[in-house]
Amino acid sequence: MFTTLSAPRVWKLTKRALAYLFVSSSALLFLIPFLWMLSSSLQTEQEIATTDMRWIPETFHWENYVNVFEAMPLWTYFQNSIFVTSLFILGTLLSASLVAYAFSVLRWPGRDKVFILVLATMMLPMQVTMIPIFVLYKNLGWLNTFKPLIVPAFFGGGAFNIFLLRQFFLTIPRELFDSARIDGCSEFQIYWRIVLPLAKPALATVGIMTFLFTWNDFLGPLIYLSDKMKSTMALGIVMFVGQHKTEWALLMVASVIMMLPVILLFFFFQRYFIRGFMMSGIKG
Amino acid sequence: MRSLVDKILGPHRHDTLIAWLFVAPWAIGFLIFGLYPIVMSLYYSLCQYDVLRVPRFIGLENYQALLFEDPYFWKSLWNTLYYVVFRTPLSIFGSLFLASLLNQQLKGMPIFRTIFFIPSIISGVVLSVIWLWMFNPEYGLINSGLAFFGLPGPLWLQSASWSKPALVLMSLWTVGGGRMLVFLAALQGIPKHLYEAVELEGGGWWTKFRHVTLPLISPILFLWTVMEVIFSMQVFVEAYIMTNGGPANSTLFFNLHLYNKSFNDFQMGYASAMAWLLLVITLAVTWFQFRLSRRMVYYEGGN
Amino acid sequence: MREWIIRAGYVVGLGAILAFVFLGAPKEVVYTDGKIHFDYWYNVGQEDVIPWPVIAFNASQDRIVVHPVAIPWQESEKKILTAVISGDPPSLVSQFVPLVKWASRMALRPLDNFITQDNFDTGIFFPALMDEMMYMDRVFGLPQATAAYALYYNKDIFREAGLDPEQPPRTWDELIQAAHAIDSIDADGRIQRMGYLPDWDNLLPSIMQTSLLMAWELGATLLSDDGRTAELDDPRFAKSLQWIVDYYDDYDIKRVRAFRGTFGYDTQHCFISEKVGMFIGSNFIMDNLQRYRPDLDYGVTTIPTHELGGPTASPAGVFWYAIPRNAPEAEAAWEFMAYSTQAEIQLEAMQHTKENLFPSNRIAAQDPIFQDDPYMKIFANQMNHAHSPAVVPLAHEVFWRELNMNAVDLIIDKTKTVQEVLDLANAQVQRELSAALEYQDYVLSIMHFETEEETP
Repeated sequence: MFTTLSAPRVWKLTKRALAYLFVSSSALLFLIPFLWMLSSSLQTEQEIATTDMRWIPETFHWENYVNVFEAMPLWTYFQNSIFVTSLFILGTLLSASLVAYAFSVLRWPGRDKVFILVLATMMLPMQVTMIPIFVLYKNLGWLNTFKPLIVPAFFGGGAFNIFLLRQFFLTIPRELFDSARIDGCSEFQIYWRIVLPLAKPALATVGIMTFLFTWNDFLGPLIYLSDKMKSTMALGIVMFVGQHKTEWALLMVASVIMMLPVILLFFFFQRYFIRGFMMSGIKG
Repeated sequence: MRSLVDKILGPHRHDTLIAWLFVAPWAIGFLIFGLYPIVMSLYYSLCQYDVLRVPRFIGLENYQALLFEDPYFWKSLWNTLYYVVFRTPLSIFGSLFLASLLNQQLKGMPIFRTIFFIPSIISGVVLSVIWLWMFNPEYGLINSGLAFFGLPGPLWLQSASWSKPALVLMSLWTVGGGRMLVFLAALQGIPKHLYEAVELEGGGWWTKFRHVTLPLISPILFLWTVMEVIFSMQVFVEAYIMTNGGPANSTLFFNLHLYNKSFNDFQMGYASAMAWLLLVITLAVTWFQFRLSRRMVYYEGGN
Repeated sequence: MREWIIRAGYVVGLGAILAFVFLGAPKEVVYTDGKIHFDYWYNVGQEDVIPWPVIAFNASQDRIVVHPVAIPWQESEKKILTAVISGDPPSLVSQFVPLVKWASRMALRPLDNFITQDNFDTGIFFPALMDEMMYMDRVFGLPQATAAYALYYNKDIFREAGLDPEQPPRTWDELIQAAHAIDSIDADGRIQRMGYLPDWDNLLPSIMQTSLLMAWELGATLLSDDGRTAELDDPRFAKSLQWIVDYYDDYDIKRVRAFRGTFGYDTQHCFISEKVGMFIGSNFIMDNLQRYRPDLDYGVTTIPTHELGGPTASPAGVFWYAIPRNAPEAEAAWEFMAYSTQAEIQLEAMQHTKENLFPSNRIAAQDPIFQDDPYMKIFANQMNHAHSPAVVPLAHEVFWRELNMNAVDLIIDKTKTVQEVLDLANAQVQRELSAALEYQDYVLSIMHFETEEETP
């Protein structure tokens, strides 16, 4: 360790120290909103509405975490969110993998051109289709039900997910398919028995990212649901804001509760989160 | 079964049929949720329509009203432009900066990475709520913090001049997300010997950055800039929850104006016209960026 | 070990998902008690309590059960829209925006047949309120509650200014004189107190405070009789706006703005914090005075007129009940509406809420509670001279936006003249109105209001 402290050596160490300092203070800054939210969630309305910053609440009002369920039907919102999210993930995984299979494993005329069309749809701003789809759902009688939030997942599950899965499927050795075909397997069997099991990591990634999207989604429920009891958490929390007097403490509590599954999931499945985002950076 | 189909359609046709069966979910979805709505929205944009009653064809009147008679259209475009122009470079370079920091192989990097990453995966709703509270002029943390240093805190979201900067500031909390991870991977992919070459010639960190790092990651930077621009143009949730377009329409973003026109004023035809203009603008902006990229982006083994 | 945890996590997670999927899906509520049940959507007010009429109605009979559902302000338009077009709306809603917005869009069910059937007397309501319930000669709602206005004045300030606290101004000219006596500007030119702000609502600029009232007193309606032409450039209205410009000639506008910047909510309200000596406000202000400054010696009087004994005017926004198109239980909803708009019920409801909404029922306003209290009596009498603030119903938002948010500041800054502002506003409003009328005419040639199902 105690080698000669030459000038470049000192500089290098200083650089590291500075970097450390910078990163840690930035990390602290980044943590502050969370800490503030947690702290606020454990105070009462009166305590919150004072101008002195109080980091550690005098008394920890754990009862806020119980009261919030009376202030709004949070449990119902939670259930609705789980319901919508899990079905959406199911639909996405099924249909995106089917479609991705066609664009990667199968060979057929026009395949690449159609794929470009798929990619192009990613560029479409949702505003253009928002109103006609709304009218469509009205005509189908699906407004104020969960169907608009779930059914589209079964129709391809989003160009992005198709793209991701296709990238992964392309890495599977072709020999596996060829030998399966020779053995007389239908394409669907290949898909179901070979590709899907092999693609578990990619599917997990898509599943996680879809979870994030749906769990956090607010616009869909906002537009399609009018029944208070059908709201998801995202929408439910919003409705809590901007009542005559916003109850900040309870709002913070609801936010913490909504964030919890996401953070838990992150800690368990970090790998897939990171991979998912990284894979989106690799452009074919 | 296979041989029967083969006999009818011929061997290659069979493969195509199967392929289309696999693609069917997407194809049907495209027709129902893609093509049909696009065509219908073009039609609606030429009508008066409030969904409660039948549409009434009025030709280009909506576009005319939008471009020449609606002051909020231009205001909302301006607000959105402001947001995009300030947020995009700050976000991109923020992520890049963070990535280069984390590239130092410091101990405890997974922890740091986690801390920086998490804000990017929580819901826009929760983000808005947290920051709405942080920006509260009387009790919020930001002004309390400023007061601690003896500085006066602006009214943030209640001030017409500070509202957009507040929103841009808030978006910086999520610079540590997927974008940063991609940049990190890209940075790690740069061969060390290139840096050493610069060092040998006596170059400092700026030279390294400008002549090695930047050109090599420019494709990724460019790609994410394009995506970031498109993404920023969609800003809605924050404005809807935190300010509802105020104060004095300073945060009336394009999407919010569109949403208000659709669901508050029930002018779906008008809103459809707005959506189409947005599409045109998005395409134009993206095309413009691609043209710009030819001059600034370096593709290895290419141009 | 880690593998095990992850695997266990998968199983638990899957189990939880399945559980929620099968148990968590919201089920349609089905009532088996043989009674009629319907939902009633209303906006949450200051306090989240169930409206008393609902409790009373449910208790008073056992055939119908009303289920009140509170919905937040920001969302209500969109929610009702979605509910109506999804074909499954609540049977009763109450809202505040001009009824015409919903009625003209065929979202509501006309009530005329119920009225005839039950021999319901719509004359029990204040005329201004009932007028707002009409569209195309049909009745689409019943007024539920309103807010009555009057001129508040601070007696202590009057005394300080040498004015007789028992002789509040009766005409606009007298008001100006009183205001000037009250004004207090310090040596630096900073305004400490003003007698009157003619363009200021509780927290925002507003033409309603003075100009619109003056125009109404002069007989202007700002809309042609057939409702098809906007008449914002009516000289009587122009004259009323010019009054504000002239009023501010005596002041430095920048100082006035800075002064107004010190106003706020509740205790910081301009009248409650005694920054302003006279203020035209609703009966809500009385509640707040009671709550925050019970020591403030104030008086209430009729809104000033142009000449002594001339007509007075006040605005009367209205909370209304209406039945959405395709409501499942229209008859039951009507029964509730008829019940809760009776005088006794409205009077009782006032006892059960902290918010002092003014009853829509004229007979209720004759009750001793109002007539014996000198202040409430003034509010009650003022209601007889009320006008609907939905001046141009089919272009309501544009009207208020153009005039309230844009026009006022322009004219007192002298950036534009009154005539220019009115011409501009009139053009905007007329354009919106014409577009709405064209659409309406077109639709009416295809759809109709029949109380049975329309043909869309």
